[in-house]
Amino acid sequence: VKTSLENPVVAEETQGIQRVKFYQTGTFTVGNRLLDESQRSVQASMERANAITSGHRACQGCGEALGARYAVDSAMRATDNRLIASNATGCLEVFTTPYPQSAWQLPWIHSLFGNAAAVASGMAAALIAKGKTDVRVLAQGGDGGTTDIGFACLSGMFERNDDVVYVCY
Amino acid sequence: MDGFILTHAYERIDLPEQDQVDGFLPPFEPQQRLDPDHPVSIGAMVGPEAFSEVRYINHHKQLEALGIIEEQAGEFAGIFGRDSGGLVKTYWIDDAETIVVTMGSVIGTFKEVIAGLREEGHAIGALSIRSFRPFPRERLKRLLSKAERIVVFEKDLMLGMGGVLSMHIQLAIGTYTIPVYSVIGGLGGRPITRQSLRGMLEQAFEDRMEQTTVLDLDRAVVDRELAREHRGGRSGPAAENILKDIGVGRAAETG
Repeated sequence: VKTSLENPVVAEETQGIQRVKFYQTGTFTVGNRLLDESQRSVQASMERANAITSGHRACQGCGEALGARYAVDSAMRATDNRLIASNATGCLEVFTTPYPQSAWQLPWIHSLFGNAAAVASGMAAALIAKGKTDVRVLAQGGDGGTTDIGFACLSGMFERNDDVVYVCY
Repeated sequence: MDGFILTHAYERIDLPEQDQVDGFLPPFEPQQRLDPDHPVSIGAMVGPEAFSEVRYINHHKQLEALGIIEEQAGEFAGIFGRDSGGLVKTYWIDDAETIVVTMGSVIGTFKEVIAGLREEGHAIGALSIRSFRPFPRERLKRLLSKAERIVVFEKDLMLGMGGVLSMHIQLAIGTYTIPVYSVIGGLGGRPITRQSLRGMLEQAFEDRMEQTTVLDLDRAVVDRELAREHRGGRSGPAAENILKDIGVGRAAETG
């Protein structure tokens, strides 16, 4: 990947994954603080998936947008980019997918406010039924969609021990 | 309550053969897939610029489904050898002066009552609605056009309004000037007995019914509780008082 400070928006695309383009160095902005010491000069690895790409409609400095990018990028790395996600209705869903735009660089499905865990359970079950062992499932929701209206579905997902990573922002 | 009664009390299951199912269902070809090699976002948010159109298309497709439901019901019956429902199921309505309209499992009780009344010479039939959404308005209008009176029986009470289904029937028959009696029963799981239905229908034959009737309603209990509340003061929760009055359960013991 060839990039430079003079031309920071140039990014290569591989398998539909846009490489990260974040070049601030030597500061204590969020990117640097959350990274290993060795990585701080670039704030984020060039190999990162950038699963939520730029241009979405979150407010500037939105913690959820940053958090979701870290969480989903990590999950993308762990699964070698073989990841599919469900997403409860909520801020994250609204600011990433105002039709006809989408900021997601991975297969993504919007669920109801309360059933992201159940949709993810279904996705995991479908992968088993289809015999696809290389694809993993991520579910995402806010605090309401997770622990309030969504708690029954989440509880069921844990009780069945479905192969899903659930992230509450 | 129908859900409870059907799943906890009856539990009869008809399991079709796999080749029958394969013969009925089309091949599994989803329009959208969650595939890491071809990532898509499914279910993006639509705002005011397009939501009216999206909503209207949903409505339009519901109306289109009226025809498809009938068509599929016929195909289903051909393959599985049993009825899957369709829009409406009728029972003895061709020459019926009185038509009972209802939904769900209570139709079984009505059939028995109606068979008895037919033996005695009453021109009565029944109609069970199998598709509530979309609601088969035109179909119902045709089927109900020759009735002299309609008795709508349902297990719900829309507070301050009456029965949901009876409102739908009023709307379906439109300008026909036949009486539509709304009867509400089975609330909270109260048994719906043949005897009660028979008594209610005998009143209907003579048009001696109110617009809205609650089957087996204990009017004395209601009046007593209302009077207690009118006397003022704090009478306590109505249900608690009523259980005391009729002597049911722990409330009666601790009186």
